[in-house]
Amino acid sequence: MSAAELTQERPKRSRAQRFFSWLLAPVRSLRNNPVVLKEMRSQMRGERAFIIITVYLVLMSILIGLIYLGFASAEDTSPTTSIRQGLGKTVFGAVVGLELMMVCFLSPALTSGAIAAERERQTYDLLRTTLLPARSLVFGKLVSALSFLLILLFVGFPLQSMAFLFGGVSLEEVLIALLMLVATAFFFSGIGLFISSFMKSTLASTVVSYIVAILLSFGAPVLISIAAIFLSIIPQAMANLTTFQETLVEIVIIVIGYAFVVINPLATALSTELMILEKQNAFFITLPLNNGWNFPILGPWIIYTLLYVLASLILVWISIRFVRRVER
Amino acid sequence: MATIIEIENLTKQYLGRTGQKAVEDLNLKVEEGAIFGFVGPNGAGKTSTLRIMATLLQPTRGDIRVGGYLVTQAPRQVRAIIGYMPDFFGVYNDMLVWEYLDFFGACYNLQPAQRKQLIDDLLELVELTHRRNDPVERLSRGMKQRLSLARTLIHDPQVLILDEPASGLDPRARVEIRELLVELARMGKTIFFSTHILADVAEICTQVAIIEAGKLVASGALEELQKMLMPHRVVQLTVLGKADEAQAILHEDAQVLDIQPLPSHAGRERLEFGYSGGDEELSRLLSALVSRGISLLHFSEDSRDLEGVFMRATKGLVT
Repeated sequence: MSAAELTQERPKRSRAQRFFSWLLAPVRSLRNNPVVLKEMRSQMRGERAFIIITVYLVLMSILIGLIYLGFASAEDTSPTTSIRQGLGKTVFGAVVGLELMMVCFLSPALTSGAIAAERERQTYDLLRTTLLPARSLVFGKLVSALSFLLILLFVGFPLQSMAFLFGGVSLEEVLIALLMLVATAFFFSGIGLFISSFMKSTLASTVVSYIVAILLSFGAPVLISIAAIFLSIIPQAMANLTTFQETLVEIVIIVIGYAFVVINPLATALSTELMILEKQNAFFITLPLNNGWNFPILGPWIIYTLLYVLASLILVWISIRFVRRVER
Repeated sequence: MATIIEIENLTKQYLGRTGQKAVEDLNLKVEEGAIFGFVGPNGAGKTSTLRIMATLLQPTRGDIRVGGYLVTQAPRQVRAIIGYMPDFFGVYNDMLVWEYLDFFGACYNLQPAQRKQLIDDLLELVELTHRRNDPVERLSRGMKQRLSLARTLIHDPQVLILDEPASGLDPRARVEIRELLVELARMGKTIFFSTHILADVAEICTQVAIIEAGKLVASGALEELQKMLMPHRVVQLTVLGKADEAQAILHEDAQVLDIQPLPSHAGRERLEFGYSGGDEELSRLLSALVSRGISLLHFSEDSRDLEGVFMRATKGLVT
């Protein structure tokens, strides 16, 4: 077979065509990418997938059972609609919280060995000498990891849907939760993939990925707490400021607090839920300032989703660059 | 014959290793259809050269042209016409034998229907049809090496680049791999393989290059190298008694040098001598021995000749 036949020289395309082709690469990957099939086969073979799914469902069932028992023991008489709705919201919130944690900590595990393990197994060189583009290798690993996470989210739907039996959960909340979960899975998988693309050992790659995941999951709440302490001492410090300066400080504090919230999945989920509960709006609210003005704020989930998707795309792009690089 | 691999002034110096060059100003030409043995001691620069040829490593200077394509400029085209087998066997533990080949076939953009037929043919070629549905990890080392060879052939490449293909194999597996390489050469493939097993080179190579400390010390057809580096051939003979008479006859021939008696075994006397003459003269000497009543059991050139060539060519700079 000749090089031209195998490499299938294509006619030159315009920049726009190349850009759209690059954008659609993940979709094409699903259909033609051999790495997707190989990885999915390997993920679903053996006991690992079965054990993960079982543990995940058992944990979720226990959580829902405990919440239900908590509500049932607190109410002596037959529950009112608002109590049932409260139960529905609590079950939904707990399930989404558990799913978010699962996604945050399982995604790096699924991708942190993606490229590093190929190096360890000494199959990396074999793949690099085939016609498989670096892009397909990286997307293949990412798509297969995301597919497994989607399977986990999917198998959790029946338990999650128990919340709908009690009521109190809107379709809007369900869709926002789903969007956030997908963005979180994409981002945390991207972190694992990125670290894996330049590390030689799976163990080192996994450790570093988890450090980053823990910092993002628990570091941001610590920062939010520090910011809250800082906020509590601000009124005394603002005693000598002019009204304009006071407003400016208020705005800066809100923006910093908002930034801390939108980098953390749980903080974003909770603040979005608070917006829905208090303002009945998940997209846009205004915060009253001391001078009587209203400061507009977008739903944190919007910025969170955009930020995480953008960061994921950048991480994937850098990973491709690392994989494409020829050893020097 | 056309040149299919051309190494031009190739130099490789790894980052952070000042002064020490893995490969230095290497120039080589490999003809289409050749079985090219790339021989050298450990650390001589063989693997670095092969990795550059397989587009896995960037040269510091110079380039390699494979099938007319420069490895640094057109790596994708080079990958399409080469099959690369490293000196280790990359394993996907949970894959079956046919899945392993199918996966790599898909990596070369081969269509599923095409792959199915190819896998059957290749497994037959490497005699692994009976292990088609076994997990790769259960294969013996020799079988894995044959499967690895089948993997390199999945896209029907023109050139096979093999790094120590017989290393670590038992004698039977080594012979099987050797036979496979000869068969592949018969099918029109050019085989470029590195080795430090000289018997493999002597057995199958049409061209040889000897490299030491990153530098080429000799290259050409094996006979040419022998002529160049070994001033005379070494012949061994075994006789039934009459060793002294045999020695006397040998002394009569002016082209016989340094007759050495070797340890005798079960009444068989053995002699070794250098010979500066050609094939015809050597044949006449053999006739003379037989016609003068010497009972010859064995008369042949020393099979360690290539070792002699290798020892003369290299200086033991790297071990």
